[in-house]
Amino acid sequence: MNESAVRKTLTSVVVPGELEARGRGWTVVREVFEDLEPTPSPSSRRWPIAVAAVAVVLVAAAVTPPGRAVLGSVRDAIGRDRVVGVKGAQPSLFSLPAPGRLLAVSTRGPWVVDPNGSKRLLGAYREASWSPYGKFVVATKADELDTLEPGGRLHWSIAKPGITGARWGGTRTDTRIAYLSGGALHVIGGDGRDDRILVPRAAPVAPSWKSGDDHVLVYATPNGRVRIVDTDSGHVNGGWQGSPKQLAYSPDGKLILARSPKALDVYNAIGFHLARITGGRFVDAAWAPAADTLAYVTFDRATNRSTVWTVNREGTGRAQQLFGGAGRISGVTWSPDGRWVLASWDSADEWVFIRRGDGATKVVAARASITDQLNGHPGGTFPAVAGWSP
Amino acid sequence: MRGNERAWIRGAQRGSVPDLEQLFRAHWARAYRAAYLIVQDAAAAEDVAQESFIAAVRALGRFDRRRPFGPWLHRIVANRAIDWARARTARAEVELGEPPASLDERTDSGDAVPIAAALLELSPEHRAVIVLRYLLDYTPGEIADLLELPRGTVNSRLRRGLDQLGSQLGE
Repeated sequence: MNESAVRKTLTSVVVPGELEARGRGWTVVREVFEDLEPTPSPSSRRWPIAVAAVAVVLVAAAVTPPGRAVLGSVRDAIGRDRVVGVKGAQPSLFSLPAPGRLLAVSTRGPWVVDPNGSKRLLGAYREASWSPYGKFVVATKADELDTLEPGGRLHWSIAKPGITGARWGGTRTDTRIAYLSGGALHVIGGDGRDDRILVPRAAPVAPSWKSGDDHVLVYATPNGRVRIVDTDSGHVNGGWQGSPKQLAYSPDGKLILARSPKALDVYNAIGFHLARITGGRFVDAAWAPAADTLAYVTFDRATNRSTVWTVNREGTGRAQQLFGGAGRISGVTWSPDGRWVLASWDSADEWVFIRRGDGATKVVAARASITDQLNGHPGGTFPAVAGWSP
Repeated sequence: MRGNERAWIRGAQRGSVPDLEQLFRAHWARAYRAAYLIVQDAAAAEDVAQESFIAAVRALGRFDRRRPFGPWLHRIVANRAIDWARARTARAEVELGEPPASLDERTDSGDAVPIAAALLELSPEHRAVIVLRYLLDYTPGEIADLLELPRGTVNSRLRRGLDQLGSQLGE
């Protein structure tokens, strides 16, 4: 293909609505800019001092006008929210609002973030997740699975083609790691021994372990089934028909959530269907540590708005809106003490921590510029929170 | 332009709206065009370009004025556009039959339509390197830096992208 023809075409192809888009773009960018504080001149600049206090903003329910004002949303010419973020967000990861360590995977690899905001890069891994009690991390590259201490010290390593979806389950003394490699579902001991293929063909969906010493796993097959299997005996305990994008056992091992783009389903431990939640596009879901509540994220394309909801554990009660914002919220994570929900607000480049207060009030604490701090530069894929461990 | 740009950035860092507007006008068109050619959807391109400018504005306080603004902005645009295009491919599993909104809006201008249509057949990652190379004139080394890819991967995507465009156009 002639390079100069390509160059000529790319510069001359008609891009629809360019002028109008520029006008709208300037309106929005200007509003965001005017909302910011100017940078101090170099002579008066002070480096931020790490503080233990959390910047908080009291908001009413997120959908009411005062809530929106605090969130600082800007409406574009056709009434869709443009993204701004939480006003008063801390400009950096000075601290987390709750105890425990966050695991977040950036384009540079996974970071362990401590409550005081200090963070440690574990290495150039693509995925990572915590061991059951947060003592270790399992992290994977394209063809390698490593287990590490949170400080980064390597314990053991295994090489397999196309590793993804590694999850660590079990008790304090007897653990297993399940992972996908070359289309097969493997199980290996937490000490790196006895690697074997559990299922020769599995769907590319991360499996989920039941808590406790059963060594029971739920996984998806490529032909539209979900199976619950005892990994020691190989016995299939139950299952259902479906092609979820996400599977998660509740922390007490009694319920399983299955998320598809258009629905959130809750099943009991043998795969009996208990409830279905619909309405919007489902992006992520997570069990509270006490397993009494589910948090989930939906996205409405028409309004360009994401919403974080909570509902009772069976999914049968009335869902409550916890937080809402323009653009994309890609994930939701509970703090280990179950008091905070972390919403990963990609479009605002913020982590938003929400805690329900008395009645309808909530406390919202936000940390800004997440991609810059974890990727090393603004832009790029928003870092994914892979867990919040005690 | 470079001297002006530094002055605009300095002014914008101090809160000057006119200086920000100069910066915006100097860079919007290429950012929007690049986003459009990668995501192949006008509304999505507008979202990507706006959000990229917003991200750049919010990080402007940390920007080193000695560096050019364009590559910094284009890194954000390219990555966000790739993410959007990938997410769209995933959504297509559920929302079947939804055509790219922009195809009907193109006017016929000689070779432009065939090549633009052929571009649609490339993956978002291949489109991005083609756009960064032939619209925004970055070298393969600069593209590797912008997309955090090995240089060899960029070269191979450029080669494959051009070959694929050529074969779709019967060359």
